[in-house]
Amino acid sequence: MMMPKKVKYRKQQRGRMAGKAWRGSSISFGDYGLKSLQCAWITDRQIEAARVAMTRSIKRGGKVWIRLFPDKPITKKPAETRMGKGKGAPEQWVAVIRPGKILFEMEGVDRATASAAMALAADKLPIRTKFISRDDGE
Amino acid sequence: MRQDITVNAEVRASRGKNEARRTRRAGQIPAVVYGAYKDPISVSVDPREITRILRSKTGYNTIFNLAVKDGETTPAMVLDQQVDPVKGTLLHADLKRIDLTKRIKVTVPVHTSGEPKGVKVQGGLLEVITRAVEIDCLPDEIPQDFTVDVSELMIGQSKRASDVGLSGSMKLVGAADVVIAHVVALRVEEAPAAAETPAAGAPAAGATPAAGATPAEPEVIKKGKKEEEGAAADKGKEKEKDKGKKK
Repeated sequence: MMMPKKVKYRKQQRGRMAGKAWRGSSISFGDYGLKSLQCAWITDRQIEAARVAMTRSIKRGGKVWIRLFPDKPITKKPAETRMGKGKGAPEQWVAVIRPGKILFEMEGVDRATASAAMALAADKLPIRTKFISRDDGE
Repeated sequence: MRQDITVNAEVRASRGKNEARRTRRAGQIPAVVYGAYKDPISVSVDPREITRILRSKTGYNTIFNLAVKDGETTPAMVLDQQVDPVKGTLLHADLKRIDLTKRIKVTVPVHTSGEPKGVKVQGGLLEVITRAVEIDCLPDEIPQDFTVDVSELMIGQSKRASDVGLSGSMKLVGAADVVIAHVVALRVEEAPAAAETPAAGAPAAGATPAAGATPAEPEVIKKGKKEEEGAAADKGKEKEKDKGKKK
Protein backbone atom coordinates (compact mmCIF):
# COMPACT_ATOMS: atom_id res chain seq x y z
CA MET A 1 0.00 0.00 0.00
CA MET A 2 1.12 3.57 -0.63
CA MET A 3 1.97 5.71 2.41
CA PRO A 4 4.54 8.39 3.26
CA LYS A 5 7.97 7.29 4.49
CA LYS A 6 8.28 10.17 6.93
CA VAL A 7 5.69 12.52 8.39
CA LYS A 8 5.96 15.59 10.56
CA TYR A 9 2.87 14.76 12.64
CA ARG A 10 1.18 11.40 13.18
CA LYS A 11 -2.39 12.73 13.09
CA GLN A 12 -4.20 15.40 11.09
CA GLN A 13 -7.49 17.25 11.30
CA ARG A 14 -10.08 16.36 8.72
CA GLY A 15 -9.98 19.51 6.56
CA ARG A 16 -12.25 20.56 3.68
CA MET A 17 -12.65 19.37 0.12
CA ALA A 18 -14.23 22.47 -1.40
CA GLY A 19 -13.37 23.77 -4.85
CA LYS A 20 -11.85 22.26 -7.95
CA ALA A 21 -8.43 20.77 -8.61
CA TRP A 22 -6.71 23.65 -10.38
CA ARG A 23 -3.40 21.83 -10.31
CA GLY A 24 -2.83 18.35 -11.69
CA SER A 25 -5.90 18.68 -13.89
CA SER A 26 -4.32 18.03 -17.29
CA ILE A 27 -2.55 15.02 -18.79
CA SER A 28 1.19 15.42 -18.25
CA PHE A 29 2.90 12.09 -18.93
CA GLY A 30 0.82 9.61 -20.93
CA ASP A 31 -1.73 9.65 -23.73
CA TYR A 32 -4.83 8.74 -21.73
CA GLY A 33 -6.07 9.65 -18.28
CA LEU A 34 -8.82 9.18 -15.73
CA LYS A 35 -10.24 12.44 -14.38
CA SER A 36 -12.23 12.76 -11.17
CA LEU A 37 -15.63 14.47 -11.35
CA GLN A 38 -16.36 14.51 -7.61
CA CYS A 39 -14.51 15.13 -4.40
CA ALA A 40 -13.61 12.27 -2.06
CA TRP A 41 -11.03 10.69 0.19
CA ILE A 42 -9.47 7.86 -1.84
CA THR A 43 -7.81 5.29 0.38
CA ASP A 44 -4.51 3.52 -0.19
CA ARG A 45 -6.39 0.23 -0.65
CA GLN A 46 -8.61 1.72 -3.37
CA ILE A 47 -5.58 3.13 -5.21
CA GLU A 48 -3.83 -0.25 -5.04
CA ALA A 49 -6.96 -2.08 -6.22
CA ALA A 50 -7.30 0.31 -9.18
CA ARG A 51 -3.61 -0.06 -10.06
CA VAL A 52 -3.78 -3.87 -9.97
CA ALA A 53 -6.94 -3.87 -12.11
CA MET A 54 -5.29 -1.62 -14.70
CA THR A 55 -1.98 -3.45 -14.91
CA ARG A 56 -3.74 -6.83 -15.18
CA SER A 57 -6.03 -5.50 -17.89
CA ILE A 58 -3.24 -4.18 -20.11
CA LYS A 59 -1.10 -7.29 -19.37
CA ARG A 60 2.35 -6.71 -20.78
CA GLY A 61 2.86 -3.46 -22.60
CA GLY A 62 1.89 0.01 -21.66
CA LYS A 63 2.94 2.21 -18.80
CA VAL A 64 0.82 3.53 -15.96
CA TRP A 65 1.32 6.68 -13.91
CA ILE A 66 -0.39 7.16 -10.55
CA ARG A 67 -1.01 10.87 -10.08
CA LEU A 68 -2.41 10.72 -6.55
CA PHE A 69 -0.72 9.88 -3.26
CA PRO A 70 -2.38 9.07 0.05
CA ASP A 71 -0.59 11.44 2.42
CA LYS A 72 -3.39 12.13 4.89
CA PRO A 73 -3.66 9.87 7.97
CA ILE A 74 -7.17 8.93 9.09
CA THR A 75 -7.62 7.90 12.70
CA LYS A 76 -10.26 5.66 14.24
CA LYS A 77 -11.22 4.86 17.80
CA PRO A 78 -11.43 1.17 18.71
CA ALA A 79 -14.85 -0.46 18.85
CA GLU A 80 -16.87 -0.18 22.07
CA THR A 81 -14.75 2.67 23.40
CA ARG A 82 -16.25 5.51 25.41
CA MET A 83 -15.92 9.02 24.02
CA GLY A 84 -13.00 11.14 25.13
CA LYS A 85 -9.52 9.96 26.11
CA GLY A 86 -8.01 11.61 23.05
CA LYS A 87 -7.94 11.03 19.31
CA GLY A 88 -7.83 7.46 17.99
CA ALA A 89 -4.91 5.68 16.37
CA PRO A 90 -4.03 6.17 12.67
CA GLU A 91 -6.00 3.57 10.74
CA GLN A 92 -5.47 4.31 7.05
CA TRP A 93 -4.05 6.78 4.55
CA VAL A 94 -6.13 8.74 2.05
CA ALA A 95 -5.61 11.12 -0.87
CA VAL A 96 -7.86 14.19 -0.85
CA ILE A 97 -9.33 14.41 -4.35
CA ARG A 98 -11.17 17.36 -5.80
CA PRO A 99 -13.12 17.45 -9.10
CA GLY A 100 -10.87 17.77 -12.13
CA LYS A 101 -7.86 15.91 -10.74
CA ILE A 102 -6.14 13.43 -13.04
CA LEU A 103 -5.93 10.19 -11.07
CA PHE A 104 -4.12 7.84 -13.47
CA GLU A 105 -2.37 8.15 -16.81
CA MET A 106 -1.49 5.52 -19.38
CA GLU A 107 0.73 5.22 -22.45
CA GLY A 108 1.82 2.52 -24.90
CA VAL A 109 -1.61 0.97 -25.54
CA ASP A 110 -4.42 1.73 -27.97
CA ARG A 111 -7.43 3.80 -26.97
CA ALA A 112 -9.84 0.87 -26.60
CA THR A 113 -7.47 -1.03 -24.29
CA ALA A 114 -6.77 2.07 -22.24
CA SER A 115 -10.47 2.87 -21.95
CA ALA A 116 -11.31 -0.68 -20.81
CA ALA A 117 -8.48 -0.67 -18.24
CA MET A 118 -9.48 2.74 -16.90
CA ALA A 119 -13.12 1.58 -16.61
CA LEU A 120 -11.97 -1.33 -14.43
CA ALA A 121 -9.92 1.07 -12.31
CA ALA A 122 -12.85 3.48 -12.04
CA ASP A 123 -15.00 0.67 -10.65
CA LYS A 124 -12.63 0.45 -7.66
CA LEU A 125 -12.98 4.13 -6.80
CA PRO A 126 -15.71 5.81 -4.72
CA ILE A 127 -16.29 8.67 -7.19
CA ARG A 128 -17.55 9.34 -10.69
CA THR A 129 -14.74 9.68 -13.21
CA LYS A 130 -14.23 10.47 -16.87
CA PHE A 131 -11.86 8.88 -19.40
CA ILE A 132 -9.91 11.53 -21.30
CA SER A 133 -7.18 11.47 -23.92
CA ARG A 134 -4.57 13.92 -25.07
CA ASP A 135 -6.20 14.07 -28.50
CA ASP A 136 -9.45 15.36 -26.97
CA GLY A 137 -7.69 18.65 -26.33
CA GLU A 138 -8.42 18.65 -22.60
CA MET B 1 1.01 29.21 -39.21
CA ARG B 2 -1.13 32.04 -40.55
CA GLN B 3 -4.81 31.31 -41.09
CA ASP B 4 -7.49 33.49 -42.66
CA ILE B 5 -9.62 33.65 -39.51
CA THR B 6 -10.97 36.80 -37.91
CA VAL B 7 -11.80 36.89 -34.21
CA ASN B 8 -13.95 39.79 -33.07
CA ALA B 9 -13.25 41.41 -29.71
CA GLU B 10 -14.81 44.16 -27.66
CA VAL B 11 -12.94 46.39 -25.26
CA ARG B 12 -13.84 45.79 -21.60
CA ALA B 13 -14.11 48.94 -19.54
CA SER B 14 -14.40 47.32 -16.13
CA ARG B 15 -12.25 44.67 -14.47
CA GLY B 16 -12.46 42.28 -11.54
CA LYS B 17 -13.86 38.82 -10.89
CA ASN B 18 -17.48 39.96 -10.66
CA GLU B 19 -17.33 41.64 -14.04
CA ALA B 20 -15.45 38.62 -15.48
CA ARG B 21 -18.26 36.35 -14.27
CA ARG B 22 -20.88 38.64 -15.81
CA THR B 23 -18.94 38.50 -19.10
CA ARG B 24 -18.89 34.68 -18.97
CA ARG B 25 -22.60 34.56 -18.20
CA ALA B 26 -23.21 36.69 -21.29
CA GLY B 27 -21.52 34.03 -23.45
CA GLN B 28 -18.17 35.79 -23.82
CA ILE B 29 -14.87 35.29 -21.99
CA PRO B 30 -12.46 37.93 -20.68
CA ALA B 31 -9.17 38.17 -22.56
CA VAL B 32 -6.16 40.43 -22.68
CA VAL B 33 -4.26 41.61 -25.76
CA TYR B 34 -0.62 42.60 -25.45
CA GLY B 35 2.69 42.61 -27.31
CA ALA B 36 4.33 44.45 -30.22
CA TYR B 37 5.44 47.25 -27.87
CA LYS B 38 1.88 48.56 -27.51
CA ASP B 39 -0.21 49.01 -24.38
CA PRO B 40 -2.19 46.00 -23.21
CA ILE B 41 -5.96 46.16 -23.53
CA SER B 42 -8.66 44.13 -21.79
CA VAL B 43 -11.16 42.65 -24.22
CA SER B 44 -13.95 40.10 -24.33
CA VAL B 45 -14.10 37.45 -27.06
CA ASP B 46 -16.32 34.57 -28.10
CA PRO B 47 -14.91 31.39 -26.48
CA ARG B 48 -16.17 29.23 -29.34
CA GLU B 49 -13.93 31.07 -31.83
CA ILE B 50 -10.86 30.64 -29.61
CA THR B 51 -11.69 26.97 -28.89
CA ARG B 52 -12.07 26.32 -32.62
CA ILE B 53 -8.61 27.81 -33.20
CA LEU B 54 -7.03 25.82 -30.36
CA ARG B 55 -8.55 22.55 -31.55
CA SER B 56 -7.53 23.10 -35.18
CA LYS B 57 -4.50 21.28 -36.60
CA THR B 58 -2.26 24.29 -36.09
CA GLY B 59 -3.52 24.75 -32.51
CA TYR B 60 -1.67 27.28 -30.37
CA ASN B 61 0.52 28.36 -33.28
CA THR B 62 -2.36 29.66 -35.38
CA ILE B 63 -1.92 33.30 -36.32
CA PHE B 64 -5.33 34.89 -36.87
CA ASN B 65 -6.66 38.42 -37.31
CA LEU B 66 -7.95 40.02 -34.15
CA ALA B 67 -10.46 42.75 -34.87
CA VAL B 68 -11.12 44.94 -31.84
CA LYS B 69 -14.42 46.82 -32.16
CA ASP B 70 -13.75 50.54 -32.78
CA GLY B 71 -10.03 49.82 -32.61
CA GLU B 72 -7.10 48.01 -34.15
CA THR B 73 -7.05 44.94 -36.41
CA THR B 74 -3.88 43.01 -35.88
CA PRO B 75 -2.44 39.53 -36.39
CA ALA B 76 -2.47 37.68 -33.05
CA MET B 77 -1.84 34.33 -31.38
CA VAL B 78 -3.24 32.63 -28.29
CA LEU B 79 -0.34 32.67 -25.85
CA ASP B 80 -2.03 31.26 -22.77
CA GLN B 81 -5.44 30.12 -21.59
CA GLN B 82 -7.34 29.20 -18.46
CA VAL B 83 -9.58 26.18 -18.68
CA ASP B 84 -12.18 24.90 -16.23
CA PRO B 85 -10.68 21.68 -14.82
CA VAL B 86 -13.97 19.78 -14.85
CA LYS B 87 -15.95 21.14 -17.81
CA GLY B 88 -12.97 21.89 -20.03
CA THR B 89 -14.47 25.22 -21.09
CA LEU B 90 -12.37 28.32 -21.67
CA LEU B 91 -12.31 30.87 -18.84
CA HIS B 92 -9.72 33.39 -20.02
CA ALA B 93 -7.26 33.84 -22.89
CA ASP B 94 -4.02 35.74 -23.38
CA LEU B 95 -3.73 37.05 -26.94
CA LYS B 96 -0.44 38.36 -28.26
CA ARG B 97 -0.05 40.80 -31.14
CA ILE B 98 2.36 39.40 -33.72
CA ASP B 99 4.77 41.48 -35.78
CA LEU B 100 5.05 39.41 -38.95
CA THR B 101 8.52 40.76 -39.75
CA LYS B 102 10.12 39.77 -36.42
CA ARG B 103 11.27 36.33 -35.32
CA ILE B 104 9.31 34.67 -32.51
CA LYS B 105 9.75 31.67 -30.26
CA VAL B 106 7.03 29.06 -30.58
CA THR B 107 6.48 25.54 -29.26
CA VAL B 108 5.77 23.07 -32.04
CA PRO B 109 4.36 19.57 -31.34
CA VAL B 110 6.53 16.58 -32.25
CA HIS B 111 4.86 13.35 -33.40
CA THR B 112 6.45 9.95 -33.90
CA SER B 113 5.89 7.79 -36.95
CA GLY B 114 6.36 4.06 -37.49
CA GLU B 115 6.58 1.15 -35.07
CA PRO B 116 10.09 0.73 -33.65
CA LYS B 117 11.98 -2.52 -34.25
CA GLY B 118 12.66 -2.60 -30.54
CA VAL B 119 8.90 -2.91 -29.96
CA LYS B 120 8.13 -5.27 -32.83
CA VAL B 121 11.10 -7.63 -32.54
CA GLN B 122 12.49 -7.18 -29.02
CA GLY B 123 9.21 -6.57 -27.19
CA GLY B 124 10.18 -3.19 -25.75
CA LEU B 125 8.06 -0.15 -25.06
CA LEU B 126 8.22 3.14 -26.97
CA GLU B 127 8.24 6.02 -24.51
CA VAL B 128 7.61 9.53 -25.81
CA ILE B 129 9.47 11.86 -23.45
CA THR B 130 9.19 15.25 -25.15
CA ARG B 131 6.02 16.07 -27.04
CA ALA B 132 6.94 19.57 -28.25
CA VAL B 133 10.11 21.52 -29.04
CA GLU B 134 10.66 25.25 -28.89
CA ILE B 135 11.95 26.87 -32.06
CA ASP B 136 12.85 30.38 -33.14
CA CYS B 137 11.50 31.38 -36.57
CA LEU B 138 9.57 33.94 -38.56
CA PRO B 139 5.78 33.92 -37.99
CA ASP B 140 5.10 32.79 -41.55
CA GLU B 141 7.49 29.84 -41.20
CA ILE B 142 5.83 28.19 -38.17
CA PRO B 143 5.28 24.53 -39.06
CA GLN B 144 2.11 22.65 -38.11
CA ASP B 145 4.15 19.90 -36.43
CA PHE B 146 7.35 17.87 -36.69
CA THR B 147 7.44 14.14 -37.36
CA VAL B 148 10.27 11.94 -36.13
CA ASP B 149 10.66 8.48 -37.66
CA VAL B 150 11.21 5.97 -34.86
CA SER B 151 10.89 2.78 -36.91
CA GLU B 152 14.63 1.96 -36.69
CA LEU B 153 14.90 2.32 -32.91
CA MET B 154 16.01 -0.72 -30.90
CA ILE B 155 15.89 -1.10 -27.12
CA GLY B 156 18.16 1.50 -25.51
CA GLN B 157 18.19 3.78 -28.56
CA SER B 158 16.60 7.20 -28.70
CA LYS B 159 15.74 10.11 -30.97
CA ARG B 160 16.79 13.55 -29.80
CA ALA B 161 15.74 17.12 -30.50
CA SER B 162 18.62 17.44 -32.96
CA ASP B 163 16.96 14.72 -35.11
CA VAL B 164 13.96 16.98 -35.74
CA GLY B 165 14.11 18.23 -39.34
CA LEU B 166 14.26 22.02 -39.23
CA SER B 167 13.81 23.89 -42.49
CA GLY B 168 14.33 27.49 -43.62
CA SER B 169 15.63 29.85 -40.96
CA MET B 170 14.29 27.83 -38.02
CA LYS B 171 16.56 27.48 -35.01
CA LEU B 172 16.16 25.13 -32.09
CA VAL B 173 15.80 26.89 -28.74
CA GLY B 174 17.21 24.95 -25.82
CA ALA B 175 19.31 21.81 -25.63
CA ALA B 176 19.69 19.74 -28.79
CA ASP B 177 20.25 16.53 -26.83
CA VAL B 178 16.81 16.44 -25.25
CA VAL B 179 15.31 12.97 -25.77
CA ILE B 180 12.16 13.01 -27.90
CA ALA B 181 11.41 9.28 -27.70
CA HIS B 182 13.23 6.11 -26.72
CA VAL B 183 12.57 2.39 -26.58
CA VAL B 184 12.91 0.78 -23.16
CA ALA B 185 12.70 -2.81 -21.99
CA LEU B 186 9.46 -3.68 -20.26
CA ARG B 187 9.74 -4.05 -16.51
CA VAL B 188 8.01 -7.09 -15.12
CA GLU B 189 6.47 -6.13 -11.79
CA GLU B 190 7.42 -9.09 -9.62
CA ALA B 191 7.06 -7.55 -6.16
CA PRO B 192 3.39 -6.57 -6.53
CA ALA B 193 2.61 -9.97 -8.09
CA ALA B 194 4.13 -11.68 -5.04
CA ALA B 195 2.05 -9.46 -2.80
CA GLU B 196 -1.09 -10.19 -4.81
CA THR B 197 -0.77 -13.99 -4.56
CA PRO B 198 -1.13 -14.22 -0.78
CA ALA B 199 -4.02 -11.78 -0.98
CA ALA B 200 -5.89 -14.26 -3.17
CA GLY B 201 -5.48 -17.04 -0.64
CA ALA B 202 -5.29 -14.86 2.43
CA PRO B 203 -6.25 -17.40 5.14
CA ALA B 204 -3.57 -19.90 4.05
CA ALA B 205 -0.79 -17.35 3.83
CA GLY B 206 -1.96 -15.43 6.86
CA ALA B 207 0.66 -16.93 9.17
CA THR B 208 3.65 -15.58 7.27
CA PRO B 209 3.68 -11.87 6.49
CA ALA B 210 4.23 -11.03 2.81
CA ALA B 211 7.65 -9.73 1.81
CA GLY B 212 6.18 -6.44 0.58
CA ALA B 213 4.12 -5.88 3.75
CA THR B 214 3.97 -2.18 4.63
CA PRO B 215 5.21 -0.97 8.00
CA ALA B 216 2.47 0.04 10.42
CA GLU B 217 3.35 3.72 10.65
CA PRO B 218 5.83 6.06 8.97
CA GLU B 219 8.68 7.70 10.81
CA VAL B 220 7.76 10.95 12.57
CA ILE B 221 10.40 13.59 11.74
CA LYS B 222 9.86 16.05 14.58
CA LYS B 223 9.91 13.44 17.35
CA GLY B 224 13.31 12.08 16.29
CA LYS B 225 14.86 15.56 16.15
CA LYS B 226 13.50 16.43 19.59
CA GLU B 227 15.03 13.29 21.06
CA GLU B 228 18.41 14.10 19.55
CA GLU B 229 18.25 17.67 20.81
CA GLY B 230 17.12 16.42 24.22
CA ALA B 231 19.96 13.93 24.35
CA ALA B 232 22.45 16.67 23.46
CA ALA B 233 21.02 18.91 26.19
CA ASP B 234 21.29 16.09 28.74
CA LYS B 235 24.93 15.55 27.79
CA GLY B 236 25.61 19.27 28.30
CA LYS B 237 24.01 19.21 31.73
CA GLU B 238 26.05 16.17 32.76
CA LYS B 239 29.28 17.94 31.68
CA GLU B 240 28.36 21.00 33.75
CA LYS B 241 27.64 18.77 36.76
CA ASP B 242 31.03 17.07 36.37
CA LYS B 243 32.77 20.46 36.21
CA GLY B 244 30.95 21.53 39.41
CA LYS B 245 32.05 18.37 41.20
CA LYS B 246 35.70 18.89 40.14
CA LYS B 247 35.62 22.42 41.51
